[in-house]
Amino acid sequence: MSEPILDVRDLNVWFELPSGRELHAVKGVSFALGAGEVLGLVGESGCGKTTTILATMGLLPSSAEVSGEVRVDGADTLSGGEDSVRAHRWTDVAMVFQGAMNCFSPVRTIGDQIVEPMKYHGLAKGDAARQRAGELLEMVGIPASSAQRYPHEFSGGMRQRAAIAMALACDPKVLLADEPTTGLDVMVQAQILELLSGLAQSLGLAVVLVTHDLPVVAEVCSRAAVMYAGQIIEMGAVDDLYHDSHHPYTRLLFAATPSLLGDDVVASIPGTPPRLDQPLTGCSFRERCDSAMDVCATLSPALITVGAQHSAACHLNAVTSDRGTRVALDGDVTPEALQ
Amino acid sequence: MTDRTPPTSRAEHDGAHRAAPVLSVRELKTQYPVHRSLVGRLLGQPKRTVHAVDGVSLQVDAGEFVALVGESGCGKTTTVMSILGAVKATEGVIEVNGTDIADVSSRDMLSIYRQMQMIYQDPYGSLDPRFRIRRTVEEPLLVHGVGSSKRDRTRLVSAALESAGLRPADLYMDRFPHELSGGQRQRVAIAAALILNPALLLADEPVSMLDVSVRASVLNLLDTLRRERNMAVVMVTHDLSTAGHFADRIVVMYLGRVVEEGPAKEVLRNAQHPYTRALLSVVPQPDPRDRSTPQTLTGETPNPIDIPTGCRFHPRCPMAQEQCRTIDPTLARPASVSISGHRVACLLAT
Amino acid sequence: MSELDTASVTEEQRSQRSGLGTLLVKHRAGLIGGLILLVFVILAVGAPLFAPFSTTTASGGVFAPPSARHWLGTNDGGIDMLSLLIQGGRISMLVGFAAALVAAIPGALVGILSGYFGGAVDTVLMRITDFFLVIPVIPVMIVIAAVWGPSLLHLIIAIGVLLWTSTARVLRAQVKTLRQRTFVRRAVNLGASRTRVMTRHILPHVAPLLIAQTVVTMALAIFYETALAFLGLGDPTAVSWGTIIEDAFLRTAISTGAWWAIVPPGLCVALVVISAYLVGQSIEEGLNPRLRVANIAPRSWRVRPLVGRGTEAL
Repeated sequence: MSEPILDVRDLNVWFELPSGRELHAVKGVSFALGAGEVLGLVGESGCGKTTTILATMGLLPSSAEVSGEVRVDGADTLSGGEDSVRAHRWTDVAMVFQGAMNCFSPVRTIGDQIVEPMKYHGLAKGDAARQRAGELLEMVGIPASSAQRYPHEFSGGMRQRAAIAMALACDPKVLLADEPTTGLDVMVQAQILELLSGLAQSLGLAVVLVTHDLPVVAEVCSRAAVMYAGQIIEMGAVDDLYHDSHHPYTRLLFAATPSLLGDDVVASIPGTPPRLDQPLTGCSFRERCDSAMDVCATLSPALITVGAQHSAACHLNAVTSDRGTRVALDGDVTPEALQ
Repeated sequence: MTDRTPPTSRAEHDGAHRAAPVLSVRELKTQYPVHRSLVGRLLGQPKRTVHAVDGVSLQVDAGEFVALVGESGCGKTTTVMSILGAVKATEGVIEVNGTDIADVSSRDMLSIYRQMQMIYQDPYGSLDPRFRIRRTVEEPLLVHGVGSSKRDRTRLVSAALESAGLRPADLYMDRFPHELSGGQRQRVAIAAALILNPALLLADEPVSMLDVSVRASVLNLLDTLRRERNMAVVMVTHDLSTAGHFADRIVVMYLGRVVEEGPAKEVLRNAQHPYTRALLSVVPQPDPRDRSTPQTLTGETPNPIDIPTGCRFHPRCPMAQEQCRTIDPTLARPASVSISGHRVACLLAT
Repeated sequence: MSELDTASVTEEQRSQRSGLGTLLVKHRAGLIGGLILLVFVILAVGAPLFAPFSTTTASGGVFAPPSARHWLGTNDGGIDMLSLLIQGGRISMLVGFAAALVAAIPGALVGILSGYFGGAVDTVLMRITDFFLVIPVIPVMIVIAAVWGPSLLHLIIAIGVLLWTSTARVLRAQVKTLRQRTFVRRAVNLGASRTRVMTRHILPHVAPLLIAQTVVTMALAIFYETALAFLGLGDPTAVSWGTIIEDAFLRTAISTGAWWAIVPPGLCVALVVISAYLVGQSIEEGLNPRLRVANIAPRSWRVRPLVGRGTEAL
């Protein structure tokens, strides 16, 4: 692919626990996306997907330690710590948080709150800023005149759109959306998803969509990365993930997602994810896997290419893969190598 | 589970003699007044009411699994709360195993509660964090005076936990809720609800707060248990796909009314009401090749305070006609459908 | 459960499991307060053992200043001040403790019933509470003590009857919240009687708050006892910090310049009150439901140098 707008390489996040131990929440996550692309980051609760994008924006608490590289349009944002990230926050990378419909202060108008990041980053002020706020609202499907209204006058779906407008206030290149449709009705969800993919196309916005909902990913994302226990265990085109999955977890996750009209038995995965505050040997999914082999207990599988733009971390692939291009997690991870 | 024997429920044998339904709801209406401030009252602001449930009828037989679906604000949760007695119904009849609960004195409500239990959406909040699992599951026994001794009750608790899939029960009896996962907590809630062998189980979004990988096992558990015990289940959910896979019947609600109901697969494959059709078209599918044209309706669901005249769906209906503005349709068999039990409230379909 | 809680998962576990002890330990101020209170309680309970000299017979000169023998000097009767203080602590703490218990009963009852039932019950109970709230405490206590006669029992009841209101209000607020929690609604919906719900589900959850409030009430009660005793309305036969101050005052300690006869009792009262507040406050702080929002605090996360990149090697 051409030069990626967002390039995350070997991202690791550790949290210091009160007991003194460490929780390794994100383990060597790498992904890249270009302008206009919508990448899905899928996984269940505790898999590290939210922590990953928080780390990308430097929004982690004091108990967190981060390592790895995050490049936004070529610029290295992470290695300098908070100081290097701050310059890019909101102006290059913006985020729509989980439960964003409740992110607005109830005592100020929506318009004021959209103007705020513009003022803070010195991009516009006064009438120009208000004008732009109106434009942003129109862009997300809300009449510009509503800028004078207060958050409680908006419905949940409209507030979510307003949150997206606020994220776009400083014209970012990347939008990180954390569960943007969770808690919304199916109709409103469809509208928000349509909006997000529309924005990706019209603005050339690179969007990372974090969700636990596979059908949502199938709906709007062209590519997706499936996370489990802090790692990306499979990444590729959504079509490949569904029809040609190379990791038992991906396969089982899809099997656990009922389709509207299908008659297949809905599966469930026994057991629970491993604790991330204890060292893990072998594959993190081994205990719940229906195809575990002996090697899975001792050796942790690396993410290897299994198809065009398709990689998976599972020993089953090493057995059958004809490509065999090993891309070690601790070696050189480049977007090209992952293709 | 792939080969499901058709349930001998009312939906399949229309007109045949059947046992009295476990739950019979007729023209249920539950309304709340919108709170007016003192100033508002003095200024003569008109009294407004939230018509959360505006004429719902529902019948559930023993062993039947009914899914109550709809978007937020459609009244599905309020319906269930009214059935449970947690919320006072304004009008209508609710009968549990033949007894009208409005006639029952508060002392006799205990016997009603014994026949009707509920499991809640939030697995983290529905168990008292200070109670050990044993105590939580034992509580219904104590409240209803079941079990002759501590040992007897322990045996019943053990059996309930095991039938909810928590085996061996001893491993869980003395734990606290925070030591268990979401799926396990929900199983505890199921064990506690089923320990009295109720005839009716109400479930409010029982799996929406659980991880995807765990949902099917909890729903399968509910399904197995209701077959084993011939227990009626009414599950509120917004997830049509889940409803289709586990329920015998689907009841679609919109703005306080039932707009369509029928055998689950039939409603999903052959939806007659424009709202149901629109709803089905926007449900995202896991198969990326499964693209249907989403039919997003204009605007958002109006609130239940100002209900449109005529058919309450007509302002957003893509097929609305002149008559829809004035005539309020009732549930009837659609013209083009031959499956019994499938009814729809739409002038154009009937 | 939101994934944002990754860092605070153990926090959640710990707070749910923690009893009073853990809560106190978390707040150092509470710990210090607790220790000080403990010291006073021990001294009060074992007063005869700790008092170096007799509290009834003279062991030194009149208004003798602090010396190696009498750490706090003597009063006008030659009695050792330190012994008086320790002995006085007994009565003061006793009255305080008892009055707080007396106040806890209506406080808890009104708070729980009001919060649980809401509506008319709530309105009526809260108006009653308001009534008691606006009563000026000292004047009424003076009247009660004066009319009823000075005795420890009367003192305890008089104080207790007027100090329950803040407990009632605080408990009411928490009960109202608890009432809406799913597990309480579940208990109600499975048929549990109201009594059962209140005693088994609600009371255990408000108990820590009740204890915190009672501790604070105890401090207030000691203060009021001291005030009343000072005004001459205390039990004349009992030695308490208030009566010590009263005695010193009446017997020209000030003009003699015998500060050691007046200041120490006052200091003791102040210390006990402050300690009790610290303890009570730290319990309440520990019980505040923490906002479950990701701790988004920029500037504080750290970069780990890329020495050996943490993931499992092949």
